[in-house]
Amino acid sequence: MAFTSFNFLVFALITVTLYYIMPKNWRWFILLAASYAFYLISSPKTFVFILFTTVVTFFGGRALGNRNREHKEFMAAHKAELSKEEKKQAKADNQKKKRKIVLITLVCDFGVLAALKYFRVYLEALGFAAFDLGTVLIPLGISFYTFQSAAYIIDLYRNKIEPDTNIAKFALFTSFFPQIIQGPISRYDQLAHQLYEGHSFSYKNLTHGAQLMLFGFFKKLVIADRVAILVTEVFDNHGDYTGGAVFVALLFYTIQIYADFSGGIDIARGVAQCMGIDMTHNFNRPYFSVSLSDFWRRWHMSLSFWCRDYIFYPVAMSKFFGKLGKNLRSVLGDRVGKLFPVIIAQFATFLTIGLWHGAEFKYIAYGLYNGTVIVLGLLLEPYLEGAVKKLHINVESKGWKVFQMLRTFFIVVFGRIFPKAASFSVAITMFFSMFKLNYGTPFMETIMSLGLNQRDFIMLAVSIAAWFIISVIEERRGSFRDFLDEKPLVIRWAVLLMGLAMVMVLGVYGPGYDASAFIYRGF
Amino acid sequence: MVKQRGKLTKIICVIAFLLLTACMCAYLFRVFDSPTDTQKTTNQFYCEKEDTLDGVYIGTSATYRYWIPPQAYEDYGMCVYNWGTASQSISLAKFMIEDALKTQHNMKVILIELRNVKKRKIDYSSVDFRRVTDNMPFSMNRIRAIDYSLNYYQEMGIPIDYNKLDYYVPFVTYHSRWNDDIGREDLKARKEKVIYKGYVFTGSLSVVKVDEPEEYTKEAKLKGPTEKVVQDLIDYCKGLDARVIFVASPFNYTDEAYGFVNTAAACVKEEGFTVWNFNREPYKSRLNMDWSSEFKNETHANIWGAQKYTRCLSEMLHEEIDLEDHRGQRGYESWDESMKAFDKRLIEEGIRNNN
Amino acid sequence: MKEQVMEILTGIRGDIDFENETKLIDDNILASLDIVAIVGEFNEEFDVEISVEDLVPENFNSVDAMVELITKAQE
Repeated sequence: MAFTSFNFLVFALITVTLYYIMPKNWRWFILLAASYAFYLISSPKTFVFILFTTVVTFFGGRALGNRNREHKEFMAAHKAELSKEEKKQAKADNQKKKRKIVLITLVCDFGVLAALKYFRVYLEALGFAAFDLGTVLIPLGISFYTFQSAAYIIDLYRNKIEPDTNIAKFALFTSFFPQIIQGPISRYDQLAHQLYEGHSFSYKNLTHGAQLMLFGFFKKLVIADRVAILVTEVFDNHGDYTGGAVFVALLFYTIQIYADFSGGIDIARGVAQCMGIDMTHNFNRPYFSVSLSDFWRRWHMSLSFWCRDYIFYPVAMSKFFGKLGKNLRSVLGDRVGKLFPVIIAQFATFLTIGLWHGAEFKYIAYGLYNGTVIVLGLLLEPYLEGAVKKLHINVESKGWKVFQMLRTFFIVVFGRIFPKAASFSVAITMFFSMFKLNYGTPFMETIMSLGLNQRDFIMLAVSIAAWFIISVIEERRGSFRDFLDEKPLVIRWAVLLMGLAMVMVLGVYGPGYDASAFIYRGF
Repeated sequence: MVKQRGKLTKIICVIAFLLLTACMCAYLFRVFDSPTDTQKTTNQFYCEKEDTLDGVYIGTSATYRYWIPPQAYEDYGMCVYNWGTASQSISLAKFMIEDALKTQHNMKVILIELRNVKKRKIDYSSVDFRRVTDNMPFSMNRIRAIDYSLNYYQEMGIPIDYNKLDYYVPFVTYHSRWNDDIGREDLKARKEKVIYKGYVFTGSLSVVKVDEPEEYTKEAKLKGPTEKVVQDLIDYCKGLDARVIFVASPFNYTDEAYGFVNTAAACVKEEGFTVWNFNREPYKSRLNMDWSSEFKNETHANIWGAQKYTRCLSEMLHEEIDLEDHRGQRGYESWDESMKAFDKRLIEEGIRNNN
Repeated sequence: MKEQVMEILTGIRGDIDFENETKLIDDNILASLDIVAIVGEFNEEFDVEISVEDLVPENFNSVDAMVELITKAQE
């Protein structure tokens, strides 16, 4: 069930209504019923896989919880008697036991993910195309709920949380329908209690949630699906286009992916908010970033924070890489040797982010591109700082900030060619084709022939301008909905009705209209 | 007290906002609807005063190019509305009659055009039934008309959009007109209507010499789904109080086309209904069209042909059915207006003299 | 110990007012790279083993919190 479908609106309305009808203690159960209903409607054949991950993670979590509890009780009982070394040994033993549980659970969880999503691609790449795996359906949201489950297990390993004792409630945590399509990837300590405790009806939650959903629809239907027309035309027929057309398509793709992804997240968070649940943010106006590192703290935040907590930190702080770096100081120099674990950690992080998107090499390339740019930035930091000083550039000035934003924006834009192009080789070809100037057809004529006409472009400009203004207001005031609440009723209602009208009229949905079909035939 | 007031205010606000939203949606639905030309005849029909019509004539351009209601009214005082729309699908007939009966309970005659069955597969388009269903008021009958027509098209193997929501809520299809042909007139969101009770005057002044066709008497087997639709229509008509007469206006086309019409006519006659096929004797001779001056192309009459056809058909109706003479009656002012407007037009075009 | 900690911190990020900040993590003032560098220095300077499990906001939101973390780790 797509978010921008009539069916989903009906589904959301029914769910929210039932949620508030139910007595408070049972409201979580409505969420579970809705989530499973959603899953069975959208992807019934693969339902068994999410059940599998839920069950395995739940019992793995319980086992870890037991280990944690036993160790704690043991230490409390024998604190006085044991020496420092004995305490350390006890802890190490316990860690070993826990590691086993973590390993089994994660292998099961990630094993399913790897088998269904990745192995096929690699087998095909290795020439096993004849090995017909049939149409293996990829379970809805498998990457999201797998990563979320892994975070739960690792947090238990780190003794950060208490295990869930109710498998039905845990099933809700794993399958919560607003986040199953495109995230965000939630943390147990942030989301679980919100799901389980029934929330009272709140006028503000309902209205703000609905407003957020409207904004999501606006971004997806009016902006994302519109630019998609041009992007698809160029990327699907990349052989026909060079020069400016390719660059415009890439630029539009950058807009499309942000509008589509953040729009979907808004719809998800809006539905959740209607029921009093605050899901974690996934976007923080990423195109205002001043560096690529900053960008990854603002884009797909739940994924990059997941990678930070479960890949970056463990690798960067691991003793193994630390020692290796120390040993390589003679080769790499003092500074780089010290940075060595961090460099490895960055590549590991971005490789994960790349692979997250898919198994094909182009996604790995995407990860490596980002990793390389950031690592280069790290390595060249002292030299760049020096250059900035020498050129007497004022780093506090607005001009410099704008420069940083534009620089980052274009680094991001160019990087996007990897995931969007059909394959790695196509990406490279398309990248270089951007510099081939086409003297045949004039630029504007080409742009107008890609599926969008003048009115489309005007409306795009208007909607993106509106979005930009809202973003700037949010950047300065925090929340556009709060900002709107402060305004007089007439203004607030005008804005909301205008937004709704724009979605209804300008949204890219429906079969389209062919004027020629209406001309009297057989007159 | 203050808390309660706050709550009440909020509830009022929510209701007011929802009402405002509903109004806005209603306005947008009106603006972004079926292109104006196709609406008019249907809009006019639903504006007809309740229980004033003697009958309705349902069909395609084979109807709206031939039957002039104001002329029949002028000559006999009969009120038979011309509900013809371009390339209308025969699957619609029974639903249109059903809708007509909702407001017109005194109808004594229903004329159903048979020429529709000769439509070639290549001429089938969803617009054929949309022209009517888009402009019918919302009702279960409308939903059934859409479902039935879609089903018919699917059985005929026509490649159209089969997503029902696009038909149930025309706005879903037509909102993209913002990028196409929405103009200032559309923003006024008025319901456009017609003045000649469904007869289309525009483009009726051309004269094309057409060869007079010979009577074709053979039959051609109808396609399965079409046959079924005709049978369903017959079954439906059996339950009506009004007299149902099947008509086929004169045209010059392929033998197969005549064959299809003949087959349908035979089907209908078998079930006891009257058929006036003006391509067959004795009706052909009685009508006696002048093929060199009364047609605008091979399949459509011009204004002169329409006048002759209306004269003949209204005479036959007058003989066959006891229809009241409504001229001068209260409630029929719109028909008087239509008659006057039509006369005025004929004078303007030099077709009739000023006497 | 506090002075040593302050020296390390300002050595890594001279632009932050560590004396007064109490939401170094919650407000995203310290980046993940900073954390790694800080922990590395702490581990070396105070001969402790601060690990990933200790990377919670409560332990790094202010200088005092970090001092407490090191003290606990030395036990």
